[in-house]
Amino acid sequence: MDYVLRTNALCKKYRDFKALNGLSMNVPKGAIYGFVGKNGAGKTTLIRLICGLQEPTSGDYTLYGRKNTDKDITKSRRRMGAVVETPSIFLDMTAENNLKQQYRILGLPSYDGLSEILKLVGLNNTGKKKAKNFSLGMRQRLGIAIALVGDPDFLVLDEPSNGLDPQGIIEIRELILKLNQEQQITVLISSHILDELSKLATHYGFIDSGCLVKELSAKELEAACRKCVRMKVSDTKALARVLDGMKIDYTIITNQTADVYAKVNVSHLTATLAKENCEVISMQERDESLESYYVSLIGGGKNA
Amino acid sequence: MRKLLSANYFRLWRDKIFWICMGTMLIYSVVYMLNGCRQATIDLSEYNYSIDKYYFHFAISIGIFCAVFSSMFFGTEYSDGTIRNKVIVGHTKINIYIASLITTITATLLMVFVWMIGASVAIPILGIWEMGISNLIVYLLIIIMLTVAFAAICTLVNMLSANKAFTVAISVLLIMGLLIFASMIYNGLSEPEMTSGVQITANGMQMSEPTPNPNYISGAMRKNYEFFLDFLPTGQGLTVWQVEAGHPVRMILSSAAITILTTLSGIFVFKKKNLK
Repeated sequence: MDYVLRTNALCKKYRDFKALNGLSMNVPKGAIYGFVGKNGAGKTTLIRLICGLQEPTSGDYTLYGRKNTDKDITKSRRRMGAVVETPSIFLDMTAENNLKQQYRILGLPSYDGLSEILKLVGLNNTGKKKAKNFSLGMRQRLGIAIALVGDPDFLVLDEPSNGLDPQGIIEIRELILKLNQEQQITVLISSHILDELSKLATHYGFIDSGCLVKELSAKELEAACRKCVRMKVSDTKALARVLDGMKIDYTIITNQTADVYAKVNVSHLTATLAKENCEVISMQERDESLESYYVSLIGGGKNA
Repeated sequence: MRKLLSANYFRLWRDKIFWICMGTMLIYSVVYMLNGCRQATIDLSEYNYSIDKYYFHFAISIGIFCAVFSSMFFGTEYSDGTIRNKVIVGHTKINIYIASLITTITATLLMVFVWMIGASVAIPILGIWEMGISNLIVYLLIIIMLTVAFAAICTLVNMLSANKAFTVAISVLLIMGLLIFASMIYNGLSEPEMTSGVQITANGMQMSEPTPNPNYISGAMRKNYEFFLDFLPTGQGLTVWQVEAGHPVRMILSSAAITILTTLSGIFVFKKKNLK
């Protein structure tokens, strides 16, 4: 698998506080990587490091195969765009001039594609309106538009839905999906809104106290969060025989418990199991979401 | 670097503070010089003052203009977070620092240029410079170099402080402090060696015998005072304004040394600075 970003035991200390503590993560090419963690877990610190705003205390990372200590890392950075915390825009400029400024920073010979970017983020009709008069959602979209100048392959978004109204959240989500699906841009996105993230992400990284606790794909998460019925029976071997016969997915947890991934006819199943001399002790429907997965993984939190 | 300068200049031409400073400098130069013309031709006509007496007045205030403009201009990059856009796309912090310095120098020199244009309003009345072309070139060189030194000092403050309000306050206070310090040195050096008073006797008013002035600075201390006056850009500004530049080479070299030292130390700290 090709990776856009790989970090290796990254550490960042601010005096006595360890914001990152040996964090290792891998962002596959083409993914929307959801970066989940509490406030102060180290999400923004990691983003600041990979954007080159700060230097790691120890550890390293590779961006498009180039190590952060490599002189040519600037060439890899040229392929990325980012919105870190708040959108980096000149409030006293129009959307168009903000983009022109970024074109110049990148040294692009012309303003080709500028109007397309504005159209993509839905800011093509803002005219001479200055960014200071934009709504929060418009500013966020302008921040993303600036990050998109120069056709980056990798977009880093730090809490892009923070403070947005429901309409704004939907607009940002659709924009991110469009960029990923139509332009094959890899996206690293940190968010607190787990429900929102679950509608976007193809991969997840769970961070706690500066460490990556778990990294998995959306499919793996889906499997972990599938709706199921947890059954406690006297004999799981008999249960397995019956479920195989019914062509139902299941996972044996212990010799007495199993997760059954289907809506079963309880009377029919109990009767069939009784024929196999297997008693049903209890049945409990389980419906794990990203949020409950996160809570069970991290141990819950006030801010998550 | 070229890309960063292009972006900085793009913003400079659209920056309100820059144009306010330019406009203020133009009005200030015209008003000051016309007042100078009136003074030279009516109030103090017996002194035969030339344009030289008034033309370099801006040298004492250019530091303040530089501080106000640059702290507002680059403070915005921190307050709006746009400095991040430069780092994220791969520009090195060294290049960002140097591009900011060059932009500040350009803007401040443009303000100097505007003064010179505006101050030319006095030429038809007071005539051209009496100091001669070679002296004028030397003075212009000193002015350019002290402007560069001011820009280097302000860039150091601007790039290391992330709080715009704090940056503006510190930049202006620092330049004001240096100006007050230079004025104190200049006043100290201006003390006469001997003083003589007027005595009223039965025969009328008589000049008393000159006595040594206890405030006169002499010996090694005087050399130190002279060195600091030549070394500080605010001191150079005062000397240039009074058309008393005695050590032009020392002044130019001092400005160069200040520029190099502040830039090297600024880059060193800025490279290590954690940007947010």
